[in-house]
Amino acid sequence: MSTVSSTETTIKDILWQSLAGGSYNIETLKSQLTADSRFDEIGLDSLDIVDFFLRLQDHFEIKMREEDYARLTTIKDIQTYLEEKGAA
Amino acid sequence: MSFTEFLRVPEIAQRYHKVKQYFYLRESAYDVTSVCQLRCEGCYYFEGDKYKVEDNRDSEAWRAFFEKEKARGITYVVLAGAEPALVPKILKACYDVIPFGSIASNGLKGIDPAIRYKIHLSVWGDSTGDPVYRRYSSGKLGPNCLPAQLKNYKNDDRAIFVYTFNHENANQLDEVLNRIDGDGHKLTFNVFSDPLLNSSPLKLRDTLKQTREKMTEAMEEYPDTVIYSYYNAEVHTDEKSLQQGFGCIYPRAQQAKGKTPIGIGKTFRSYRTDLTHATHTDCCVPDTNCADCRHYAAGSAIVSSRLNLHTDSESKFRAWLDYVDTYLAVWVLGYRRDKNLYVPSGAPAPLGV
Repeated sequence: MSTVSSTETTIKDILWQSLAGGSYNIETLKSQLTADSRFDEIGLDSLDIVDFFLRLQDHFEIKMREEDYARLTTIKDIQTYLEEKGAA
Repeated sequence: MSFTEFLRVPEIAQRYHKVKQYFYLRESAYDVTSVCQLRCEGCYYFEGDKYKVEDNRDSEAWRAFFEKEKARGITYVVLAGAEPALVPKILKACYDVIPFGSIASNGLKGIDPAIRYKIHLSVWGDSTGDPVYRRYSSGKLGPNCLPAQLKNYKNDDRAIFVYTFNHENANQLDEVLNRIDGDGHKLTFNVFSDPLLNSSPLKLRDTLKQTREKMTEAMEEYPDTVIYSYYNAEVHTDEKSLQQGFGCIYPRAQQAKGKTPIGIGKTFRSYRTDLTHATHTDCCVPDTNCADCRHYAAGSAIVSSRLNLHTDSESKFRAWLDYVDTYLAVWVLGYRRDKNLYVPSGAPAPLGV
């Protein structure tokens, strides 16, 4: 369980790095975001999501296929995906 | 090197953070009238059946419509067919609600200076070619639009000229560029893209290489006037169309391939003058043959959105940054383009404004 929490924290940290310098109020997003929040519903733009995925790739040293993007809509989806890839 | 490593290179990081501030733009396109003084060869508007609907001429209905678009999350409008300058009340209604956007115009009639959208003025050739390619609706030779455009938009910072290369007009650019540069305006490039049903003699066949060379020559000779990058020239004159090279992200293409739309594929709509739209025509150039699409507006979304296809080498990422920097300078009023980060081998030292 602690491993999952640690991964979730890492994923979120990477997300905040992705959104820095953009048009977001990061503090507001931090208060809204849960593991089940859909990225589009909290207003993330598609290019920022791609930036986020690219940073995840680098951090976890995995290759994310573009075909997978559409199903990675929440932090929980990404956790599951990383587990499937043996990266979490 | 990887994406995060590229961002440790200072000039790359600086450019990325510059363009990233505009990732939030969420666009849609709107035909606002079926009326135009001209009938341009292969005009995207008069292809297909979208011009056959009945115009909604009630500016208050348009205002209410744009309020709904704003509520839908649209932050950027592209007002196109047929000739938006002919419906000033609708332009004002749009600007009052969504103050960020651009208008595609033939420039024969000026647009209220209070409407602070970017204005794309189309140029199809020099004084010999433009009247032939863009005739009056009666079929008579057209007016040669450039002198009227320069008069109507003198010292107007909203204007950017868009020169459409076709199969035979590459060398006509010289006269056009000389006049636009002389008047202190900016110019960018479009590439004629064949209609879906009625193939045009203007379709580029064996002239892609010549077109690329002409674009490059113009960029290097007029670095303060021409808003374009080496990478723009490469992708828009490649043998592959934009769809073939990058995969199209517009709803029309996504639906045709049965894909789950992401990004602009979920939000972009191409509205007709009766305020309706249909997913199978939701792209910026409906009724264009995707296999020949090299349109500048299509590329602005297709190439810019494909960040992930440009991170397997530093030179590709630099090229993508130039492309996005160019796209923003063409579409966002007041945005200034920086020097090219990507220079192909054999080209002179980095240029740009």
